[in-house]
Amino acid sequence: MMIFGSQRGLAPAVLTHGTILGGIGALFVLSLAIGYAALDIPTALNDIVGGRTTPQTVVLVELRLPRALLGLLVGFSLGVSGAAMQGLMRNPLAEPGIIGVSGTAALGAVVVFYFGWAGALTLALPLGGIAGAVFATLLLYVLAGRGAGTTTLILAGVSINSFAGALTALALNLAPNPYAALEIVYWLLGSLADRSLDQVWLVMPLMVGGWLMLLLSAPALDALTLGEDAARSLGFDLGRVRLQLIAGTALAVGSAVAVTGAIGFVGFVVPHVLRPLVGHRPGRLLLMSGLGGAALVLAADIAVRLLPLRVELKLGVITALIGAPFLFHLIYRLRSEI
Amino acid sequence: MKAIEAVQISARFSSRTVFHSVEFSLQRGELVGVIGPNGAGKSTLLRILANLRQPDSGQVQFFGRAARDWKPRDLARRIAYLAQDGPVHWPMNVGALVSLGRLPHRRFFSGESNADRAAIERAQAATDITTLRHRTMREISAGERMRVLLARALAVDASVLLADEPVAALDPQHQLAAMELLRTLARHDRGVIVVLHDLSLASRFCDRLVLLYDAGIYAQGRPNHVLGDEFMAAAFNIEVARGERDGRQFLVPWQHYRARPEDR
Repeated sequence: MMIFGSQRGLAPAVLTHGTILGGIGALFVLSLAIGYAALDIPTALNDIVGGRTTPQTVVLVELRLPRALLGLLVGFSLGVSGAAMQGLMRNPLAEPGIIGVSGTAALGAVVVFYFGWAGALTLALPLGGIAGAVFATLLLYVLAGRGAGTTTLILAGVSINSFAGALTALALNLAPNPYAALEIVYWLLGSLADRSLDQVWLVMPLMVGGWLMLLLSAPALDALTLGEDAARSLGFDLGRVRLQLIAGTALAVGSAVAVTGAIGFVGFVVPHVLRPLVGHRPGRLLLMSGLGGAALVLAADIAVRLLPLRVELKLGVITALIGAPFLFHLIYRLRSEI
Repeated sequence: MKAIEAVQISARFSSRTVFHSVEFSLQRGELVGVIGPNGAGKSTLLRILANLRQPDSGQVQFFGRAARDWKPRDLARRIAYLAQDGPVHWPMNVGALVSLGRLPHRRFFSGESNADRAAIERAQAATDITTLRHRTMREISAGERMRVLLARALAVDASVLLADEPVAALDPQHQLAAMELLRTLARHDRGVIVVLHDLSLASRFCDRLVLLYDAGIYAQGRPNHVLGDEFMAAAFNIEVARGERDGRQFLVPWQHYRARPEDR
């Protein structure tokens, strides 16, 4: 897909997108193939086509497929939202959680844990997370208003995040027993393991809706490169653009966090690394960054399964371990530019 | 029909009145210069005329219709705006940046049309940046950057161009070239409003000047009238030196008075 591509830039862009798509395909298959339970994919597929339920099909459909699909969906959501937020804020340090949706989505899930609803209904956790993200978006609008500038948005996001953090800490503090607290903490670390296809079907339409809203704002993000006045003089209604970007991010990231917990740094690192490949054009970066996010999350989730450790590392731990040093490097580079 | 017509407009920043009771209009085919001391409200006036800021009172009409009766995109095709010292947030390459001027003309998912490419090439040639088009915005000088941003505004191919100090960062050759370019636009039935600090350029190239001072339009009309000694002394607190070349007047600020006019 080319968004406002010039003819000259067409061939390399198609090539890069094609390469990433091929990489995602390979990672997806790897993600299906790798795991603790033995799985022979051709046999399992054969059984599924033949309508048989065997241990092989159960492993494929109930263990591996949700994990790989979620890796794809969550990765794309984080990547595309990160690019959108960096474009909106015109700041390479912005990330999808900047408007507060990921913190409150996590809080929503924590509330479900705290009151013990998680066991009552399989979809209670993601539903709680989504409720949290919706709440954050409404609160953001009450705090910042429709005409809010970038700084107000960031401040509102920071305050919502810290409030969500405080309530999460309160829930941990008041946890009825250490095991409940541990369960919450583990969930917060972020993981794709042991999710079900039901959860995938719940969040997929929300995420795809969010992606569309974000991808469609590509021209507005390009125009914002020239600042808000110039963007308005090019015919963009910035109030609507902000609404579309925030709603899109809330849908994509809110539902991602609701199923997987917080997976940090993906939405921050991926757009940053891929930006030069699209000539620093924020509109074109959206799709590229979504694809890159999907590839990174799939790869990281494969890595946690391959690491020879006594317990499987949580995905959020791996991404933070990769991401934080990257941030150090970025700050060092920014410093030398000034 | 007037391209832009402002009736009795005023602008305030919290308690400070920038200007009030300003009447202004622009026809297609004329080049109007806006001059005035720092803080007189030149940029504020230009932003109101570009529909980027609402006047605190009064009305502005664009081609005979109020702004709310225009679709933003349609108005964006007719009025191009070039900010003073406008930001460029990402180090895109020069050609890509100029092509942003075509956004109001683009349909989603469609590539550049022939009209888009022609407008971009014209804009790049007119501002003498064709050779820079593969460089990034980080690799060019301040003056080159200003020319790129001017090209971006030209690429809109609008009937009106509002430019806030487009020549301030340019070298003398490109200052003259840019003013000649604005002159040419006006000759081709475009309306141009340009904020200027250089009085000689204002005098030589503009059809009409507007002098903002003392919370309103202090003088307006033909350059020879507006740039008269009394107006210069009152508004800028300066004395100008004058000369003539090829039958055209020019002037340079010569000395400034120590005291404000009311104390002299």
